[in-house]
Amino acid sequence: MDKVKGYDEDTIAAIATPLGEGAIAVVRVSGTAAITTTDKVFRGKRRLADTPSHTARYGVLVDEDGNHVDEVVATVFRSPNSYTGEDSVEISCHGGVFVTRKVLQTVLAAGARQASPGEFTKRAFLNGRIDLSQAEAVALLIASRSEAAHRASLSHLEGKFSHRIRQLKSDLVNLSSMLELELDFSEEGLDLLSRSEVVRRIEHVRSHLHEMADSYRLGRVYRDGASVAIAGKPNAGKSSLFNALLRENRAIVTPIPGTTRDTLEENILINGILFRLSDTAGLRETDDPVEQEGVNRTKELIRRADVLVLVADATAVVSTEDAVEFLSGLEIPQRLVIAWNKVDLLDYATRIPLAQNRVDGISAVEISVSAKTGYGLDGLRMAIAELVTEGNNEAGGVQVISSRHHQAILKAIDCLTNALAGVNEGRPSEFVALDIREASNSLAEIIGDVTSDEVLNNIFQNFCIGK
Amino acid sequence: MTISRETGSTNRAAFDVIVIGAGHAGIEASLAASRMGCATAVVTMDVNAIGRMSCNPAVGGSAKGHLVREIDALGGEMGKIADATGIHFRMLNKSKGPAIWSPRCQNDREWYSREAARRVLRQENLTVMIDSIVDVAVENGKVEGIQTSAGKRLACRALVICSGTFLNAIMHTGRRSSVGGRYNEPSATELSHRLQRLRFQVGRLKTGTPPRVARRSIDFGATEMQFPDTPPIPFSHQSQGIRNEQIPMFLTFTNEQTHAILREGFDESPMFTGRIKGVGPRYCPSIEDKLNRFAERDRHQIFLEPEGYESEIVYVNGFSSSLPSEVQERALRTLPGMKNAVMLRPGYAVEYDFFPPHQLEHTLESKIVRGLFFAGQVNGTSGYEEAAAQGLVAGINAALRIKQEEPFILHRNEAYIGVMIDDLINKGTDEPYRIFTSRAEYRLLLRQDNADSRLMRKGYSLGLIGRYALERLEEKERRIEQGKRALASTTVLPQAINQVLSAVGSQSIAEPASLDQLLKRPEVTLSKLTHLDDFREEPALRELLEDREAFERVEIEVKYEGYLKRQEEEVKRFQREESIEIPPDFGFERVMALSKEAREKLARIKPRSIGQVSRISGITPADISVLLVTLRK
Repeated sequence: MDKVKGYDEDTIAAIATPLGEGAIAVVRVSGTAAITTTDKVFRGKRRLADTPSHTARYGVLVDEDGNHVDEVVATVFRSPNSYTGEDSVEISCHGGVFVTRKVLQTVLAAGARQASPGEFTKRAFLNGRIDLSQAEAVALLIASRSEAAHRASLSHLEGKFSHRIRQLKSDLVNLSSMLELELDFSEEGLDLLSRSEVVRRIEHVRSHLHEMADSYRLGRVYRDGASVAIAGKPNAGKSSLFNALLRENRAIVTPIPGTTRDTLEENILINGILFRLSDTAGLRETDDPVEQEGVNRTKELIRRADVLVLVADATAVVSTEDAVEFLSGLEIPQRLVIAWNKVDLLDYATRIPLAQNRVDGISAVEISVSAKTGYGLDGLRMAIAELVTEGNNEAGGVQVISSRHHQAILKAIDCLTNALAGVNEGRPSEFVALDIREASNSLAEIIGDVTSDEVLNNIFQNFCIGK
Repeated sequence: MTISRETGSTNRAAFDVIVIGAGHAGIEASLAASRMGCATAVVTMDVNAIGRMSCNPAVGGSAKGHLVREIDALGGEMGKIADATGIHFRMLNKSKGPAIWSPRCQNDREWYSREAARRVLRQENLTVMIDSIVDVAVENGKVEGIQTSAGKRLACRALVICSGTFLNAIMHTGRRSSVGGRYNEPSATELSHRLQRLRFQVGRLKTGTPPRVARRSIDFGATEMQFPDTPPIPFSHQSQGIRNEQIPMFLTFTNEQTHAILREGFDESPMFTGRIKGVGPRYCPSIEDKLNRFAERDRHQIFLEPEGYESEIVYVNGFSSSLPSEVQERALRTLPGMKNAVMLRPGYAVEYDFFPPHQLEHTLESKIVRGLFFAGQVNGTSGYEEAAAQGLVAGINAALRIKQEEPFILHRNEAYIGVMIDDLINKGTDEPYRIFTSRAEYRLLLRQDNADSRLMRKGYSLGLIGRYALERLEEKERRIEQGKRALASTTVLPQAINQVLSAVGSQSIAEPASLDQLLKRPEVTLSKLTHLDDFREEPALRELLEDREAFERVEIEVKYEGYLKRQEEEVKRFQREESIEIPPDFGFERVMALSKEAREKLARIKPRSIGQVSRISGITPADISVLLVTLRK
């Protein structure tokens, strides 16, 4: 059969695993000639062409001069039951950079073409193996750095998110149809929906979208992790606490105020969520330009943190008010933990248990800890994790994890807000109908019910080669 | 004009364009082609049937009024005939927003037809032939001429088929059926068979018409009177105003008793007994359908519409039925004012052949035979206005083909006509297609009040609109632009306006405000502002008071400016998709990633842009994505 102009199912290959990591690596080959191409360089007990689908075969890979390249295991996947929907071979070889590259070159020399970024997934998409939002999930899955991010991407890949959006979109479409019917048959005197019912339906969808939009923050936390800034007065024990949380000596801990001039950053996992922990310099007024630079950087870190841990010396500061005074004049995040440090030096009775307080409109969690003895550290870790995930039940089990989706949801919310205003001020319903339709188009773009060229472009460029 | 009546069997008269049928589509097609300089013939079975209103004696209505305005702006005839013979004009849907307002008029049925015939008969370049077509001559995939039932062979270079419901038509009333396309008129069978032999696909549809009742048998005192608008607003942008006397119409309602009688008759209805196989329109439903579908409603409104000043016939609008005539009459007599109603003619359903319109190009030329155009009900549409609009487009394109000029295609963002034709071609239709405002995604821009600005220049370049009409339009557009600018630059002081604002329940202002800002408030209308000194002292605004149309346009375009801009943005996005072209030889059937259904459909319709693909029914977004990715590679 002739090939359609510009659309060929030539055979592509790429290294599918991160280079240089791990004992084995995988080179993936896909396309109509994937199996025969690999057969040219594969020497096993039987040819891959005679190997059933989903079967692995041991052998050696040889280059054109007949030299052994590597011992490999080749797994055959036949169309349409492969990731791409095409005939595919996955060659597992030894994991070194040189060997893996050599294996790929051997396959390329046999007639495969180097895959471009995202091409495997693009083919999977073209062959109807996955939908658009699933394709995006693949990109995110690859990039996920923690278990929670992995889980969220997987749930997208399974289509839960699409399902949810589709539901809300169909609510809007139903509402539109009712409005349209009334408009089209306005002479027939059809009254299908009261104004309050229209308002109710719009608000229903909008509130769900709000939830989903909120879940984006959480989704981002799962995907990129959350930042935690540790701040406090000089010598309150910030670095000790930082180290205690990391359980390793990373920062230089000395009793001289102002030792931590630069900020230190380390990653820790709490409940499967990645936290970027920063130990900040103190906020002393200073003439030392180097130290001043550190102070500025600290202010910025505090402003942008997802969670601020304010370390207070429990032996020196008496009240919560005194503790937060340190923060006056600073821009601080909504989530605040006050860690009363050095409680090992206090009587047991005066230690403050975990408590929720509101300070200047910010909800603060207070907890007694000792960086030295490790007292209260688990509680502190839990408090941090709970703060970044609180107030969010993952919007009915689904999260927004891509910024494209988040933008589209925000746009839909805007349109619905406009529609509500229109209904309330008695704007003619064809205008309200336009707002609702734009909202539903916006949702449609998320799940690919409306696909524009730009959307596709963006999605498939976000891939690394090999997927 | 010429009326040809010879019956010689070897007559070989040659025309540029032949139009079959002189209904609403045929009139527009033949007038457009002849006015564009083509030697044109129109073939009709009966000279008295030219422009016959076979169903309701009315033109326009929701979205249909938009079509009439557009036809008029392009130089078509329907709006002018309706204006000349209208007896009851009303702008519908005034309680909705401006995009939904739609002009409609009742017409004197006989007069309308006479007036249409007069215009056709006096047209230069146009020959009216009393005959019917039995065969189409096709050579090398091109139309060469026709053969008539009188045995004549007529050569032509383009043929426009506007045969309405007459192809293989069967009429149903109760259990009785008879062959015929309209009350007391014959059916045409040969043409349909001949076209099928040319490999045209054919389908079956049905439509219906309500009973007619004797005027003097109705007690109008027991009905609600419906008054026309004063002054009546004409369809035609070129009209000098309506001078005809305007008369009221009458509204009555069905009741439980009516419904009970009709339900008894359901066993006899050809629709329920399965004898009608064609699919009827959902939106011009028969009374049987309404009872079925809205079972919970205890009454339906029925309009009693006299068919003319002198006419003894009253059209019972809303009571379309194919039940036995005895049932229809008994049910009618339960309506208020209808106790002694005498039914002159029962409602009936007519079933007919149509050619599924996916076989056409946007020019309405068929894909199978070059030079062969289809317009009107034969394409599966319903309604005079839909038919006339297609007739106009087909006639224009037939002429352009002969003149070897670029085809005339209206896009979805330009006109309801464009929306309709695009829908027909891409979505096909399995019930008679009727235009609705909801079919137009850019309807805020496609209003009946701006049809002239949208289309008149096109009509002018086609040679269908005169210089004078265009100058009037330009004058009006100048007034609109200056008026809008003046509203923006005129500011009023709080003390001058606050009283006006509080009278309409709008918040008073503390600082001077511009008139356009105030007009954007939902409660404030432009007429509320006309009494202000600041308004009257501004010449550009005062001028608006002299021009009703410009006044209305300014109000709409200022008040809804935000929405209109958004639609313009949407149009730009739409045009981007339209501009992603698909090569004419693109092998859809070879893109294996498409679903099987999509492959077949696309191979058949051969869309030329991604935009068009997205409107084909049954094509999923996934298919579109596949094509986008395929095309980009």
